[in-house]
Amino acid sequence: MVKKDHILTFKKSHNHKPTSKWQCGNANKSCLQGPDNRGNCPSSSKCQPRRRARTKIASAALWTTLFTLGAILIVFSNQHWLSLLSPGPLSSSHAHIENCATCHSAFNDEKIDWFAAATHASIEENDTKLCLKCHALGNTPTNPHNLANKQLLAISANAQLSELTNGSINQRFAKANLDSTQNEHSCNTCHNEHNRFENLTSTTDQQCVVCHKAQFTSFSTDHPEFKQYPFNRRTRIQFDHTSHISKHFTDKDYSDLAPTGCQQCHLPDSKGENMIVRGFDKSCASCHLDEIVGTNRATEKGLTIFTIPGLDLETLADNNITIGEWPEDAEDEVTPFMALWLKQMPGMTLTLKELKGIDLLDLSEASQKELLHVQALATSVKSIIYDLRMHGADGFIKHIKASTNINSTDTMHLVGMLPPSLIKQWQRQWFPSMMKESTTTNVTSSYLDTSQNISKEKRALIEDNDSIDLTSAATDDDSWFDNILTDSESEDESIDEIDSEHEAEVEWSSEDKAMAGGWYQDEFTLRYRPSGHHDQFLKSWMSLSSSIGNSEMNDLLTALRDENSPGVCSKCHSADISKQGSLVVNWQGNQRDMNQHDFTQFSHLAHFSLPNKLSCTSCHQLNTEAEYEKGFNDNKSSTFSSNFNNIKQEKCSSCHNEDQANEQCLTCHNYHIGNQSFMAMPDELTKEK
Amino acid sequence: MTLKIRLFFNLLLTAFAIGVFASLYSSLDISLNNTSEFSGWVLFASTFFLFLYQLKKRFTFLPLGKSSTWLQSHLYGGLFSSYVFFEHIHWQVPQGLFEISLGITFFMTALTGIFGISLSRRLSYKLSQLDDEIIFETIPERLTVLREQEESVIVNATEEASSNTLAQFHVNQLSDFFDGPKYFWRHLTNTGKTTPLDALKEQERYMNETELKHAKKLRKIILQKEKVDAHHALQLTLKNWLLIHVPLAYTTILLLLPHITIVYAFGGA
Repeated sequence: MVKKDHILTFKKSHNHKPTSKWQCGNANKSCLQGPDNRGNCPSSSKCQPRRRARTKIASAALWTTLFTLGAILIVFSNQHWLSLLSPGPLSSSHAHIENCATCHSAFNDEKIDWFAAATHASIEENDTKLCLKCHALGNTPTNPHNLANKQLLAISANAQLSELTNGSINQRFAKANLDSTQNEHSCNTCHNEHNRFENLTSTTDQQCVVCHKAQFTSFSTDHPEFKQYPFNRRTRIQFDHTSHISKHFTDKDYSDLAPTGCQQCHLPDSKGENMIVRGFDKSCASCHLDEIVGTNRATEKGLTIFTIPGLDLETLADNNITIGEWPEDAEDEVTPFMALWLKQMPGMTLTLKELKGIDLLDLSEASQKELLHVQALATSVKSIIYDLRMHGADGFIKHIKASTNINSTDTMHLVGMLPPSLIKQWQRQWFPSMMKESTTTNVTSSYLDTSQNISKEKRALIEDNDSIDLTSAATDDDSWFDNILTDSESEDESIDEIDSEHEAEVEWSSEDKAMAGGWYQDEFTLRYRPSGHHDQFLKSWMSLSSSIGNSEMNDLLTALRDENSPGVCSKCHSADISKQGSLVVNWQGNQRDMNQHDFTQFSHLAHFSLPNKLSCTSCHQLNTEAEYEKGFNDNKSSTFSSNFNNIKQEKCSSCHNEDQANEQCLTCHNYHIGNQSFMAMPDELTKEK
Repeated sequence: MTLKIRLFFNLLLTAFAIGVFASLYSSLDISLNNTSEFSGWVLFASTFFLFLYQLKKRFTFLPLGKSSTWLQSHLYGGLFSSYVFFEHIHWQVPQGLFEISLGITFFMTALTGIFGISLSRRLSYKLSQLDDEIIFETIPERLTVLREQEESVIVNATEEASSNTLAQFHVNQLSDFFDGPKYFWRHLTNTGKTTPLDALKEQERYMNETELKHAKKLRKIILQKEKVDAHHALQLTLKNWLLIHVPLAYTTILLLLPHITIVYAFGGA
């Protein structure tokens, strides 16, 4: 039984009232009156009243409040101390940023305006714009996956619809709670800087799934089956694995050269993701180089660039159509290269159109009008030869530039170091009187006169040289062109005879002499023989003709991509129809653009670290039934039949499951899709705070 | 309603509130909403509610319900807001000096609150085990009375017994013992060294009959002093833990304001 305190109670003394702030400090004998509210003793000046506990607490709270307020004011008023407000260090990706205003639009405002900024709804939008100053995420950066609404709708339409499976009640609630009208997200929806919480890019699987129509709980249990993974288009390089492995590599003629494993031809790219082909030299050259340079080729080894078309000279003469000097035995047709040039000349488009389908070697049934077109054609061909003779490669370059609007570097590749001496030899062999003709006939057409900046004196000089003595042609102010013309001419007459005798002994044709590649003359034609793989002349012409895509260029491209065309480029290098309708030649295999992010990513390199568990064929199994070659019959990359079977989801989930390797969405999928380049670093980044 | 039923009911209610909050938080997190904003405002609201208890104590004249109900709400509201706090900081140590300061003040406020509750429960029980009820403010006077009684016994004993054994004991031990409240930690924790009572017992073998008679009176006075000391230690602790808890609560409330401003002004990136 607790005894009540009867000695003194608050009922008997003001001194002990619990509501009073002070209590008597006189322990010997407290008075009934007690101290006043200010802590003064009314009866004795010696008595020192004491604070009650609650007064002490109130006093401590007051002083703490004042101290805290002071500290806040000091921090906010000192520019150098603002860093104390930072919620932590930046992640390593952003550690170089020193100026808070680089990312925070409100930072440069007055401190008092921070309170106003805190209430602005646009603060997230403004700060997101600052993020996008460095991170280029396309035209719709705040859209889901950075995709345009149209693309999102298309993806949604194709999605496999399913009900939420074993999702938790929170998942179901979240799905119901998802604001379907909110189609845009600021960067900080997923990315928390200043090392707050998890890492900068952490996102949970549930967060990924919540927006998707196809709902599932984990990769290993109910992830939708892969569709044609990993092939979404045909290969760019036409290489039939099945026929090579089962037929060519076992052929006794090639078995010594055949690779012994996948890694001899394939290696991971710099990020370790895609497997790229080691390149022609290491993977293909041992068997296919001869095919390109034409060593074993039965037909002509070079591509016919210029030729003297064969004409029915007799019929022309009978009809009094004069074309001047023309070789009787010429029998070739106008090449696509020449057609391209001819169409630059006035009236020649019509001429070529009129003569289309007519056998120029038999003009017996041709009309007078057609014969006149033949005459125009012959004159124009002579103009080309004349132009080449007068200006060498320069004439060719001017023509290419006039018709294509391409730059100088590209045109250099397009002429393939055409030697002036070869043109001269060609012209002198078949049109020895061309220079004389040019003064009496209209061979030097207005096209030549206007397009070539050559003086009358110089032309006269060349004309004289051709007909009389070429050794005296050089003049003091001649350009390289003149030197080329003259350097060999001085000795031509005497040396030609010796050369002919020597050639007869060795019996090598001009084509064989050009085995290292380049230009050579073969009777009435000037041909170009590929110098090997990656021949710039053929590659440049194919790229140019495919990119321009007009009718003349298409004819040219068709000729270049003919399966029997020298170089056989199209045997391996497929072409795709672009969105604009033109053909794009695939010069390289699948080359990953490091800025390009697709929905799915796979690191081959990471899987190589599993010794004795996986090999290439664990996942990539040959589909011997596939009609791989048929996929290249058209130029659509989407119609194909892969050499390899599609990879099934169960192959991945055998390791990527709850018990073994992780199965998070972001292990295989990217959120940001499209081309994401890092833009120029803003100046503010390097400025002081 | 017994204490156990009340405890069970209140804990159940708190657990339910935490469950609702956790469920909402999780679903908002999954649906890519700003969970920090959600947990932040819930934390601010609950903290402000806790702070209202302080105001309620200040304005006792206002008809705001029973103080005991407020205290119960304060206790379990504190538990709830502690959970919200840890969820708000993602169960990780905050970074940056300001955020660390805010985190520490909130955490320490909660910790001293829990410590205070623990003390209130334990020390109140200990107080109830003491026979007498003593008002804290009367302790100095009580001590004065006891000291005077002790001195009187010593003087009488010395005069009557013609021996200075008790006087010597007074000089060596009791003078300091009766000088003010002693043995604070021993009374608070029930652990400690020998008491003056034990020392007196040891001295009794040197006393004559007269001294022993006075020693008996002295024993009663020492026992009274021990009780007053126990009251002092227990009541002082019960009153003064708030000296830490309340100022920390004020600091937390003050730091919340710039925190909210900074978060909204700079939270867009």
